[in-house]
Amino acid sequence: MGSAELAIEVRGLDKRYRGKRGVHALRGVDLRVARGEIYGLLGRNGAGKTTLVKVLLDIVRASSGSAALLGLDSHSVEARRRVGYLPEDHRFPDYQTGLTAMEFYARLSDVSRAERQRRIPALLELVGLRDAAPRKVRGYSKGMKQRLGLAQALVHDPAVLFLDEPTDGVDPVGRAEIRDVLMRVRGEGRTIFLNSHLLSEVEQICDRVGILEAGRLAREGTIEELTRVSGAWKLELDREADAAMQDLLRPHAVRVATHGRDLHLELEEEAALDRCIDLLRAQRYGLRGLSGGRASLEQVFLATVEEEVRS
Amino acid sequence: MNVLGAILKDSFHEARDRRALFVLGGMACLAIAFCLGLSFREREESELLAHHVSRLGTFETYSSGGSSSSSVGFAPLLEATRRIVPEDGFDPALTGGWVVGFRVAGEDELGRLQKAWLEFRKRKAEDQMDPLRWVEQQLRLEGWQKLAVRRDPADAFRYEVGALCTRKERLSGAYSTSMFFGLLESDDVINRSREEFVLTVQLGLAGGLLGAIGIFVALLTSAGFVPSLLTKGTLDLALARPIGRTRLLLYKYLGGLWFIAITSAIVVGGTWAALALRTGVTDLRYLVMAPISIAIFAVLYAPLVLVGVITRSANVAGLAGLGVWWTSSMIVTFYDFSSGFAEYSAGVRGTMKVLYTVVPKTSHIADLGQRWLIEARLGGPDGVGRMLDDVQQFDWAFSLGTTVAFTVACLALACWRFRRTDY
Ligand SMILES: Nc1ncnc2c1ncn2[C@@H]1O[C@H](COP(=O)(O)OP(=O)(O)OP(=O)(O)O)[C@@H](O)[C@H]1O
Ligand SMILES: [Mg+2]
Repeated sequence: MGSAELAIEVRGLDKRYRGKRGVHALRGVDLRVARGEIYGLLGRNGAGKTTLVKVLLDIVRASSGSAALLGLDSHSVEARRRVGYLPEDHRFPDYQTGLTAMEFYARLSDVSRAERQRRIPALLELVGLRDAAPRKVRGYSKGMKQRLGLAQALVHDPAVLFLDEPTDGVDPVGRAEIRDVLMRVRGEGRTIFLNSHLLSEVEQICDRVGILEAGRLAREGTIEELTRVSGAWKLELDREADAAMQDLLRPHAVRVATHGRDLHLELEEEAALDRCIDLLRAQRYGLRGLSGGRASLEQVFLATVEEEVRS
Repeated sequence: MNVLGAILKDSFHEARDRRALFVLGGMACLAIAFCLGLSFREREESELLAHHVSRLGTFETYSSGGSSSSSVGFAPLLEATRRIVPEDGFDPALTGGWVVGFRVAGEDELGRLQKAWLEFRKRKAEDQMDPLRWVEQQLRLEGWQKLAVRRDPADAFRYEVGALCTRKERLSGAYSTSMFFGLLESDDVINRSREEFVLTVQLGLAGGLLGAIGIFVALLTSAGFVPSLLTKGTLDLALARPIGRTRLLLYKYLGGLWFIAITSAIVVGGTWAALALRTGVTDLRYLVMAPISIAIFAVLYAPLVLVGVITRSANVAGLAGLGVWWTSSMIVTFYDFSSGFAEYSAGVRGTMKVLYTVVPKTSHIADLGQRWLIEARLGGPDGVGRMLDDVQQFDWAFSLGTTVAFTVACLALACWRFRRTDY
């Protein structure tokens, strides 16, 4: 992939905040996001997700390493021309109304009057703020502010969209609404970089996921790749497997565990699965369901974080 | 252009929301209403003559300490004034003048007045003169140049004054002024002409309203502009846009300036128009007070922006702006008046010289405007001496140069700091 096709390219990025106890927020991060890709960055609080985005937008200056947006160095003003950003904990000046805020940020991105007249009403409609637009932002609920934030990030038709916890502090209904908007935006061919704690959200929206832990990119891959776990299976039985049954299975499996009627097996090879099923059938256990080979994103996330902490 | 326009408009929204527009607009309206409430009336010469005669029992002295006045009961019965005709038998030099007759209550009424006057002026009794000559002298003091006073040969209680005025503007009380829509009348002798009256009002507005109250309110209302931009969560929204930080901060500075510029243009233009309406004086030079007050604000707003960037607090920034204004004014005034601390030791002199060089000289900018206005109206240093208490000579190039340097240094420092901070 040539760097022109990359929406985001980060090489050896290191950030140590100035100060007495200079926090080392990013430790040599390498990351590439192709144009049109939906990338989700997961990580615990303080992992450095926001710092990474801010370095890309030149709001925070990296200590070493390089970052580029759409092939342009992130220090250049031009790099930000086709980039939209929804910051976490953003605060619109409370003297602005939804409408004046949209006007203001559009003009800061040098959007022409004709474009503004076309895009702003359409975006306010899209995020469901058409009726609230003439009101002062100070009277908006958290969800409304978040949706306005999303609209301002889109007002100049950006090619890359950075969303830092877009559903933070929003109720489930509002979250679903924001997700709908993201789904529509995603269909427009934009690159989206999403920071989130909400794994289900990331699972639904993103093509590729990275897990940041203590300033390092610990794992990265498509959701398919990350959640595929060879050898882990879940069998739903008609009753709980008793101790004798489990002992019978042990020689064939690395790990055996029950959880009610669910039987969890970790196997070295797929052929072992058939042997286990034969053993279960011989003991007259009924098989009601079989799933496997896959962990939830949450399991992957927790396991990754744990591994990192241990190492 | 788009970006600058957006930031200027945003500053306007912010000012409106903070009620700053309300405060400044209210001030502008009050100033304009004050000017509309002034009136200026020329008195007829004949009316003035009668007026001066009726005031013979009112004595006033003016000194640098103020004026004092005293009056003794004197109520002459004034006849109607009329033009002098040849049959009156006055000196032909008085032709074209006015004559007024009046009756007094007692035979030696004028002598009694003169005694009281001598007492008031702390003169000796020997200075007493012929009552007719005394009246003549009193009227000369009011500005009458040619006059004659005589006693009616047929009536011991009746007198006649014939007088001619050569230059009306020399007559005291030739113009009556009133303030607050006629509530406050004054016969101020300082206002010798319509132009001078308007000039007095304009200098008062420039020094007091624009130069003191205006700058004070402007600094306080615009103190929040930069800190509000730097609020956590707000700044990210702006920094993610394709504008350099230096440009963003300088535009924000211009945003504050723009909003103050509009207000001061309204105040100056409005008061100018109101004065022109009430007095007919339409000299445009007063309008220079708008750029002068904007320049003063532009200088003081720079340290305010710097402190705003460093502390991100509107209160601290506002106080810093006021602090720079007051301390610099104090240093500059003190330095000017003590001729550079000439009587102090070399160390003190050197320190004060450095301080004097560094601080902005906003009072000199204000002075520049006032001086220009007075000189243009009254002509030459004479006029300036008459209107200003202290006439000092400054090195204008030095004053303006160091003031501009101060402003640029503050802004440069603010930009540098803004650029290198992680937000
Ligand atoms: N401006 C700053 N100055 C100093 N340290 C900072 C600054 N911003 C962030 N940090 C520190 O850098 C580390 C990474 O913070 P960052 O905000 O990037 O984490 P995050 O992954 O976004 O966390 P969260 O999920 O809570 O938003 C934290 O330890 C934080 O304390
Ligand atoms: Mg964060």
